[in-house]
Amino acid sequence: MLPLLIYTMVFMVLNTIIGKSVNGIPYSEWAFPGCIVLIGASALMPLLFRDFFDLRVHGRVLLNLTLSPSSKTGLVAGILLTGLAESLVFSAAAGGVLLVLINTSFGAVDFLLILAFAAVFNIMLGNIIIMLSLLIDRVSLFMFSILALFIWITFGSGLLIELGYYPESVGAVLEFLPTALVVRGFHSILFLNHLDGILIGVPILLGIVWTFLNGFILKRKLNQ
Amino acid sequence: MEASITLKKVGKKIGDRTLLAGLTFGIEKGTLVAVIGDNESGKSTLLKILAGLDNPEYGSVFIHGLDTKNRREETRMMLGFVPHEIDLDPWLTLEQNIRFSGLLFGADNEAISKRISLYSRALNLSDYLHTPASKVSPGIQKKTMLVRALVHDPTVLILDEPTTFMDTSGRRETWELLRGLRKKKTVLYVSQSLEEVEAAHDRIIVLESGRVLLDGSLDRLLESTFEYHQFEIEFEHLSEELYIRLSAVAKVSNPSRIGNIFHFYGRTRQVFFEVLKLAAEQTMTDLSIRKLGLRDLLDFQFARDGLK
Repeated sequence: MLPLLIYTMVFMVLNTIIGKSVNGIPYSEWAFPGCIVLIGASALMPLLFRDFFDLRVHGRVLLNLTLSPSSKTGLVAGILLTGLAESLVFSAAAGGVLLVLINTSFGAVDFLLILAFAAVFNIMLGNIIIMLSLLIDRVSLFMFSILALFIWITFGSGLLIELGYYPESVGAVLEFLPTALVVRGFHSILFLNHLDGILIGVPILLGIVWTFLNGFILKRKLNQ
Repeated sequence: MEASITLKKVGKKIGDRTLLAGLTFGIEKGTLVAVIGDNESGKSTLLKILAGLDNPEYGSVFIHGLDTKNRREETRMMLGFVPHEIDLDPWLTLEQNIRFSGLLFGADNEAISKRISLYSRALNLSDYLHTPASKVSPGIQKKTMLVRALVHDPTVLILDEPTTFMDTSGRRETWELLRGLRKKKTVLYVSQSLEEVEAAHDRIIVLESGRVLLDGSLDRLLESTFEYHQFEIEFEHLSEELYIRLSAVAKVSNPSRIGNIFHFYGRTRQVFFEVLKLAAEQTMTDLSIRKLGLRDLLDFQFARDGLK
């Protein structure tokens, strides 16, 4: 359902409006990796919401997990990686459907690269969701934050709208946000055949540090 | 006897309110210990601190001689905790809930399967193991939580109301299992069901405002009240004058009234007959005599002042 929705909204509508990227790449080609990442992100959100927010605020299983001798960072990383694996399956399946519906020049290697792109992006996003889930205790505030986050990653990280289309001052700020770094890094590999180690390495490093930070927050939040 | 759990001046405050006031006591290995007390007496806070869900503000807790603060991982392995509220993952089956917890505690799959089979048979849970937690009754979920607490083979079990939500047979099976674990594991539990506490304990700790009010076996706790009985006489009409007259009878202790019911304690049955003689002209509708039990000891006024 989600791939068809994305196809209708992005490839049938935005494609007509935008047409080509700043560098002259057809929009349907340019937006394809972002759509795969976005579908993975949509799959990841409810999984992390359930484990870190819903079960926590309702005093469910998370309390019991924290009593185990496993480290809290290990728990955060374990749940994040499980969610990530599940979201990648969604991304791969959605990618398969979209490849049938649209014309792209992406081959198998490109497709694997896009999945790697989805993994790195969703490690960042997952950590943001985990942090919000742990710090917020009210459902209404959490929902508001998640909605704002979703709008930001959809339109403000360069997944569907290229940051070059924003006014210069806004674009300059947005392109240095962690999620935008990942998008820039992978777009650079996919469309310019250029690997920028910093654009890929910094988000990965940030993701690891963030996981430790979330482990610490979980520990404090549950009086451990 | 070797201590399983040792508390040294364990205290906890929230703002100005004292939840635990420097508790110091030890619990012997292999015993079944009940913690009882009124609401807000500090029972749940004590259990949470013992289980590692909360930290004391001061003082230390030792499990088999190891400080829970400095040797957290080792002491966690020795503990099994069943909270009061249902906390199973509603989307997982009962077996998945138990197995997941066992794996987190580092138990191997074979041992987990063996323990699931052993304890679920004892608790008559086997038929529900493959059902999602959200589809079974709270009583079955509570039994599952007990198996989950036992699956990594802890030596100390901390249970907050272990039989809540259970039907009569469920309660019986649970207490049979817990009594069977005596000597092998130390079991510390909180319960509001005083009948259950009277039936299953080696020791009872009564908490009041975060302090230990009474501590010992039921016989020892009731030692001072052995000769006492509680009497109740229900009159068709109990006038104020009659109530004063009956209350003034020598050896009538702690008299009180609820409507037309005259309630008092007495050391001998003789006092009962004296009261009856004095009230013989009035129409009595009911009489009751019973020995004192845990409930009387827990009565706030009674526990504080004793029998005057």
